[in-house]
Order: sequence, then structure tokens, then C-alpha cells
Amino acid sequence: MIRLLAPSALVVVVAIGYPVAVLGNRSPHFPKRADCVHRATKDGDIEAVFGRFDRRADAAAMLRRALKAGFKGSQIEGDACGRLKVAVHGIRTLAVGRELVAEIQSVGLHATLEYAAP
Amino acid sequence: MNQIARAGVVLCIALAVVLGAVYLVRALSDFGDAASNNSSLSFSDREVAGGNGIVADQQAVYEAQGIIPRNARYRVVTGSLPKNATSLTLPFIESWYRYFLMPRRTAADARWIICYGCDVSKLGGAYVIAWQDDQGISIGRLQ
Amino acid sequence: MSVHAIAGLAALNLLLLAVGAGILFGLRGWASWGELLCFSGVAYMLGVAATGVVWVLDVAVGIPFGLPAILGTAAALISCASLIGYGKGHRLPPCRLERPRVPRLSLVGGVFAAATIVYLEGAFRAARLAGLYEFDAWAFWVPKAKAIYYFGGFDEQFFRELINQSYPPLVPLLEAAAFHFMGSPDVVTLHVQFWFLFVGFIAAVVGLLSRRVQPIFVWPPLVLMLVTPQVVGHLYQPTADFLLDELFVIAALFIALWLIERNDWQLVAAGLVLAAAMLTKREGYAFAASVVVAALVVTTRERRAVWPRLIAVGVVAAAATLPWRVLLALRHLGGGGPEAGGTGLFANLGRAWPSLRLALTTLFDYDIWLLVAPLLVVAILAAFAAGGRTLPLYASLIGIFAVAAFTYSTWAFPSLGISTNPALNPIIRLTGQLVLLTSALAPLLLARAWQKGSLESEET
Repeated sequence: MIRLLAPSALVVVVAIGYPVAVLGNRSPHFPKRADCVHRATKDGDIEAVFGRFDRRADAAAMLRRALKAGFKGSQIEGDACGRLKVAVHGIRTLAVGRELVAEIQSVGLHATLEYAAP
Repeated sequence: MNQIARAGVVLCIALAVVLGAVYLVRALSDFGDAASNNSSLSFSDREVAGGNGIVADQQAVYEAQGIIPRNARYRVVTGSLPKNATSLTLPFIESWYRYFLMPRRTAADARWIICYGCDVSKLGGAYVIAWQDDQGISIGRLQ
Repeated sequence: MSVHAIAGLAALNLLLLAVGAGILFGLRGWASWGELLCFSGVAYMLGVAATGVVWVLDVAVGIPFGLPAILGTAAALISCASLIGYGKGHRLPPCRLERPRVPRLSLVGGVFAAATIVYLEGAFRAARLAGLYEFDAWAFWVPKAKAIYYFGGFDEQFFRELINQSYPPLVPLLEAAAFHFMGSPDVVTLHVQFWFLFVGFIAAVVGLLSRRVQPIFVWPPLVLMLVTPQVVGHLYQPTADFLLDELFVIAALFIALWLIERNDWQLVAAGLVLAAAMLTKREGYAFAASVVVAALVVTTRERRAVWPRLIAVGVVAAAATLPWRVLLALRHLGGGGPEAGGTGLFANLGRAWPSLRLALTTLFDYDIWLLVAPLLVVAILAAFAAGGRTLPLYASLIGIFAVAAFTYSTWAFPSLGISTNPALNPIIRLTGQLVLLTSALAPLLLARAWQKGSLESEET
């Protein structure tokens, strides 16, 4: 019985063992556009991102709102995942960033704190 | 003759087994390298892929996608080479955009223009730039 | 690149498998569920072939290509094939859950199967995040697929403007179907679709051979083909080259088995797969002709009984490509002939020998194809030495015709360089046909050469 089952068992063990060995204790990574969102969790080169857009017209509209609300230095740039983001740079600490986000929310806009470069 | 035949069979099987074993290890290594390289690419590098050797500025690709409406017609007009252009840029830029920007269609008289160092005075109208970079690439529309 | 996209592809390929199972039921049925498991690769390739051929017909006559057409075509094929099978007396075997009859695996088979599975898992890892780099892929194969996906058919503008207008549309249709099932034109995950096709091909070869040939003859040539540098580097490219070779090899194997066993379902299956090959690339016509002519030659002694059937297979398979050819003519699109074919060959006589030399040196190039071609030659010679006639002659003729076709492909196109540089000459891709064929025919030849009693005695 063992001789009969051994070859099949070998196939099953190898079929499962190889991916387990390759992955180790990680799960496989499935890239998505959200991968380019790097939430800031400690001080560093931080930016406040007003939003991400597929169309430049939508990004431009958000930029106009941000500039009109007084957030000079806001600009449109690519996010390395094929989308356009409206962001203001130059935030060095999380504390300063949170104050800025509170100010942004007070005028009816929304922003998240992210690292400018991963 | 049967002995010669069997010797031939043994030779074939032995060669196949030995080479198969050796090159299986190499194949797995090659697959692993390819998987690692692919995984390490950014989302947009992976999406643009072969186009990175043609388009000179990857941002232009996504700006074109974000600016030109999906049901619009456009044309690619070339002229002087952009700064980071390669030998593949001029011959293939139009066909590459045709592939990437679909369902947008090309048309010889389209008002949306992707300008790769083009002479804007010869576009046939007032050219309003929606985006441009510092390499001589711009995207805009004829008024 | 998401789990969702891969799950969608899996669903599409399960659908193709289901269609193929229906066709297999119509052709021969199966005695047990274990037998169906053995033939699952065969079913899958039949499903790819049949679905692809009907999709071309659908779109050529104007049926919009989308999920309804894809699912409707599958349902129609399964229904028709099942009715035909039922009418022929085929029935589904009982489900024996308490004592299922599963195929028995030998130790040799187990070791090689395990190695193959590890190889395929490695290939999947490489394929699932691969970018679109190949010129042919982004220049016309994938753009045609995107055009079909976005516009529901052979869009007049794109199919006129994209290069290689006359290239048949089976692969773009398959890619468009993949886009529909993935939910978007995900050109990265698209590579996994070609991994599925390759897995199906391997399963089909093993399934067809394993019941007739000992594992020690089946697996080594197959694994050797798998590990050649060219296969490793290109098996999941979203172009038509590998699918053409896979379909051609399955058809050639069906006919080889028919030459031995004379089961007519194998001939019908070969015809179906040849039709798909001809709708995959223009070279499919030459490949199909080589297989049919080789079979005609080896059955000369029984030509009255056999030739009409073989010729009918070739003719019906070619007829399946008529809707596409008619569409090309109606749209005044290029028919796709050689630059200097026919009498033009004599104007380029100086290219004849260099073209032949290029074909042979590429086929026997160790850095590209290892020792696969020499293995085929030795297997043929060994089969002849053991007293075989039909099979080794069949394999020899296909090889000779193939080399002639490779030579012609350079000779008749003066714009192509005499070079193995893929940017200058597609000779490497073309020679893949014989390399994949080795994995299918070498086992039969080696088994024939080894056995004193014969497969030959089963040949009439």
C-alpha cells in the first residue's frame, strides 16, 4: 500500500513544499495601486496628500480647492502607481503633520500623512 | 540491430535525465530571479514595462491617460528628440501609445496632441498645453 | 495583478476545460472518472481549440464579443458535443466515492511529475508579475486583444492600422476573453493565461502517452524540453508562437496515435486542433500540411481506405479558417504572403544555403535548445534500427518538412537577416515547433525501439 501511495505522496509533498519553502513565513504579494500609499507612522520626509486621481482634470480641481483654501505649495505629481496625487510637501514631524491635517479638515477638505519617498 | 536500437534508447534517456536534472536547477533559479526582479519593480514600471525604453518620460504616459478622454482621438507628433529619448523612441512611440492608450483612437487630424519635441507652429492651430515636462514632451489640445 | 484577476483567469480556464470535457464526451466518452482525470489535459486543449475556432466564427459574422458570447459559445459547444456523445451511446460513468479508481503513479513517474510540478510552480511565480516587454506582444497581439475587448470585435480602424493585419485572431480573442474574466485589460496577469496553456499542453502530452508508454520513456524528453533556455525564457509570453507549437504538437500526436490505434476520434480531434493552429498563426497552414502529408506518405499502402479520411481532416480544418480569410478579403487587408515566394525564390537563390544552414544551426544550438534535436534524431534512428517503419518515417517526414519550412521562412523573406537575433529573424521561435514535438514523439519512438514485440504490430 505504501509503495502504491508513495509516488503520489511525493508529488503532493513537493507540490506543497516548494511554494512553502519559497515563501517562507510570508504571504505572496499581489501588487495594487494602494501599494504606493505609504502612511507616515513616525517623523521623516512627510507630505499631506489631498487625494489621488486618474484624470488630470479631477486632480486640477482638487489643487484649485487646496490653493484657494490657503495651502500654498500644493502641487500635482505622479505617485508611481499610475495615478496623480495632490500633495503639499515639507512636513518634518508627525505632530506638525497632524496639526496641518486638522487645519485641512476645518475647511472641509481631507488629507492623509504619507512619506514623500518610500 | 536491436542492441544498437536499445543502446540508442539508453543514450537518449541518460542524456535527457542528466541534462534535465542539471538544467532544472538552472531553470528554477532563472524563474526565481525573474520573479524577484518583477516583484521589485514599482507598479508603474511593471505596467509600462517595455515602454520605459521608448517613452523617455514615464510620467508623460500617465498624464496622457489622465488628460485625453477615453472616447477622444489623439495623435502623436514627433520632432526633435526629447532629452532621455532612446533609439527606439522615434520609430516606436506612436505604436506604443496606440497600444497603451486604447480605447482612445488615433486620427491624423485629432485635436489632442502628444508632442515629442514637435514644432508646435506646424500643428495647424493654437496649441494649449495641459501638461509638459522639461524634456520637450507636452500634451495639449488645439483650440 | 490581483488575486481577483488570477481567480478570473482560473475561471476562464475551467470553462475551457469544461468545453473540452464536453467535446471529449462527444468524441469518445470515458470509462471512469479516473480516465477523465488522465485526459484532463487533452480535454483542456480540445476546449481551447474548439472555443477559439468558434469565437473566430462568432466575431467574423458580427456577434459582439463579450461575456455573453463567451459563455454562450461554451454552453452551445458543451450542449452539442454532449448530445452527439449521448447519441453515440456514451454515458457518464458512476461516481464511486467509496473506491475511486484513480490513475496509479509509478516511482519514476512520481519523481518526474514532482520535478515538473516544481518547474511549473516556478514558472507561475515568474509569470504572474511579468511586464509586457516583447515587441510582438505590445505592437500587435495585445493591442488587437484590447481592441476586441473594448469594441467587441475586429475593430475596423485598429485591425487596419496595427501591423501584421493578416495574422489570424485566435490569440487576441483568447486574450480578450482573459481581459473580460479578469475584469480589466491587465497585461501583467495576462502572462498567467499562457502559463495555463502550457500546463494544459504538458498535461495533454502526458495524458495521451502515459497509458501507452512507460514513464521512463515519457518523462525525460518532456523534462528536457521544459528546461531548454528558450522555453524557460519565453513560455509565458503573450504571443502566439508557443500556442501554435502546442496545438501543432497535440495534433501531430493525435495523428501518430491514430496511425497506431486507428481510433477515428483521434483523427477528428486532430482536425479540430489543426483548425485552431491555422487560426493561431499563418505558419499553422504549413505545419498542418506537413502533418497531413507525412501521414499520407506513411499510409501509401492503404491509401484507398485511409487517404480520404486524412485528406478530409486537412480540408475540414482549413475550411474552418474560411470566415477569417473572407473577412480579410472583404476588408482588403493584406493576405500575408512571402516577400519573394514562388519564382521569387530563384531571384534569391544565394539565400538558399544560408537559410538552410541557419535553420539547422539554430535547431541544434545547445545554448537555445540543448540536445533536444539530437535526441529526436537518435530516437528516430533507434526506432528504425529496431525494425520500425511507420512511426519513425512519420517523425522523419515531419522533421524534414519542418526544416524545409524553417528554410523557406528566411529564404522567401529577403528583408530578414541571416541571424538568430530575434529582432532580425524569428527562426528561434519557429524551430520551437520541432523541439516541443520531440517531447511528444520521442517517447513513442523510444518505446518502439526498446520493445522487441512491437507497437509496430499494432500498426496496420
